[in-house]
Amino acid sequence: MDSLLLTLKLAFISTCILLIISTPIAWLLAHKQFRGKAFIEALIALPLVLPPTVLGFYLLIALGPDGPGGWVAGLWGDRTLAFSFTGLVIGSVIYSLPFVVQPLQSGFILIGAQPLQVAATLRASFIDGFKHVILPLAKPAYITAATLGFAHTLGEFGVVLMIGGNIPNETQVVSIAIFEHVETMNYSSAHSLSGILLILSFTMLAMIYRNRSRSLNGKHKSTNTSGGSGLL
Amino acid sequence: MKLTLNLKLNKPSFQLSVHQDIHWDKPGIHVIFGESGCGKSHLLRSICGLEKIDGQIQFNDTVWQSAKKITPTHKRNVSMVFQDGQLFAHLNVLENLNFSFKRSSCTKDEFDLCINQLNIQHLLKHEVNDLSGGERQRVAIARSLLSKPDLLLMDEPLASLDWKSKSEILPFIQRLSQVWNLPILYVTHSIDEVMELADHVILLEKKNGMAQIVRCAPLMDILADINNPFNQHPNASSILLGNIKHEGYQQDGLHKVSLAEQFLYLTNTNIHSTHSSQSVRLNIHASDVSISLSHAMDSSILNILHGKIIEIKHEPSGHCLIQLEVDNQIILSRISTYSAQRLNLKVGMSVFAQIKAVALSK
Repeated sequence: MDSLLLTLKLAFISTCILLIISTPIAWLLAHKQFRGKAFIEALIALPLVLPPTVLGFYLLIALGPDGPGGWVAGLWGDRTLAFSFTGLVIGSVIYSLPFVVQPLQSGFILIGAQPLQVAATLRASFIDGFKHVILPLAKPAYITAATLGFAHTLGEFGVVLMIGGNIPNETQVVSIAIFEHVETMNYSSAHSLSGILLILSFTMLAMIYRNRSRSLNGKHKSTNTSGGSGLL
Repeated sequence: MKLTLNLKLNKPSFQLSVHQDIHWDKPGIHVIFGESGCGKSHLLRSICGLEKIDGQIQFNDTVWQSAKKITPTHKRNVSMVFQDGQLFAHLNVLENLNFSFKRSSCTKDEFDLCINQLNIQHLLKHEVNDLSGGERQRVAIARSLLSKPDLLLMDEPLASLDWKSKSEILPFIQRLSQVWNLPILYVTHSIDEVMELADHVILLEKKNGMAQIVRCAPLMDILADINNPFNQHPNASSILLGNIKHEGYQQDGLHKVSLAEQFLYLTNTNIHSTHSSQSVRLNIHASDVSISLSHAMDSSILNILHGKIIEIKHEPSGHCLIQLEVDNQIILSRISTYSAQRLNLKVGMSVFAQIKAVALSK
């Protein structure tokens, strides 16, 4: 059960970080035209198509003693960020980035630039207007983004295997634990963990769809901003 | 009050180039008129800082944009009413109003005055999606007023409304400028709105992808020219200024309006109780005015004015537009060219204008 708690902790922390860093990225991609935009969009979408082992391999090198991760770890006297919980968080954030950026981006596109401009004509600065107009309007998009980011981090296997290994209480997440249980013919433990993950993932997806159909059928038709569920 | 514009805006489809001082001697409505797509809305958006322009914008002594600095929209003391209201969908009516109230120097008394004037007190608890088009626009106007702007911009606020909602909101807009002591720049492509609201008219024209102000003058000066752009329209109108006689003159549901020497009668349905001032502005469609050579005593038409033909303009549609001078003011009449020939109308002739409908506009 330790692996389950560790997984939930990893998913929770990663989702929080993802929501924070994805907000400005998604806003820029939704509303600004700049050079290299397509390049950045492709980069963010890469984890959607890249085999997790490939991503994991590069991350392993980057986080390892000879990569930037090793340098960062050196700040507090460690040799490497690989095979650590911090390394897993970094990996998860990169791995799940498109699942959070894309729903937010479609949400911001649907809302459009106008509400913020209206807010500006009513004396609201950018930050003020973003906080009091855009964030509430984008609430459905944030719920979708958070759920997808969380669920996707729960199901991560390949990247974790490459950069985290299988250290109980440090990097042994549920998906790895299940793999190990099966390898050691411990089917009953594999069953219970798999069952929990199945129910958890299903519940979260069901919530997204309910959230989406509500905003589609509800009276706030014009403000349906739970975009990005198309990813499913 | 003075707005100085020296600006250039480059858009893929056209360029807007405006070099104009816009003056308000007293609070009033300056209407920016032009065809759809000639850059009227872009001009308003440039003034409040929502478009990236080159040049300078100054309001009274405050520089909003110069080569050195650009004041961001939220620091310009200007507010804008958008075409479809653009109320915030996640807030109800009261919360929408509070959004602007909280960020301005508006007092609670002004808040109450504002919602009373726009007659929205019964809507405060409503969701914005439950409002009719007219209600939505009234709330939007109130929300803009509550930000206490020095200048109010209105971008075709009535364009998406039906006739009934329009006639419901027009009186509010007519009084806005005076009551709130506020200069207004109002964009429209509707001639009726120009006639109802404008003190000054700013004509915007696009030629070869270049949009420019071609004229900025009091409405009456523009109307004096028979070749003005409004006269090409089927709704071509003229405006008469008169004085309404006090209640004692009211007979059979009619109000008597005096011009210099002659009188007009108005049915009282469109007399508004807030017309405390005696001077009124009347709007008369050219197509509602016919011409006769003698004063018809056996006609049901109530308003017959004596005047002199000062100009006749033949139109390709088989009509002609005739300018009459009545008590030193101008009335337009649109009749068929055939009728004009039959009556042998000539400039300088003395005739009678039979007016079928008169609307009180301001």
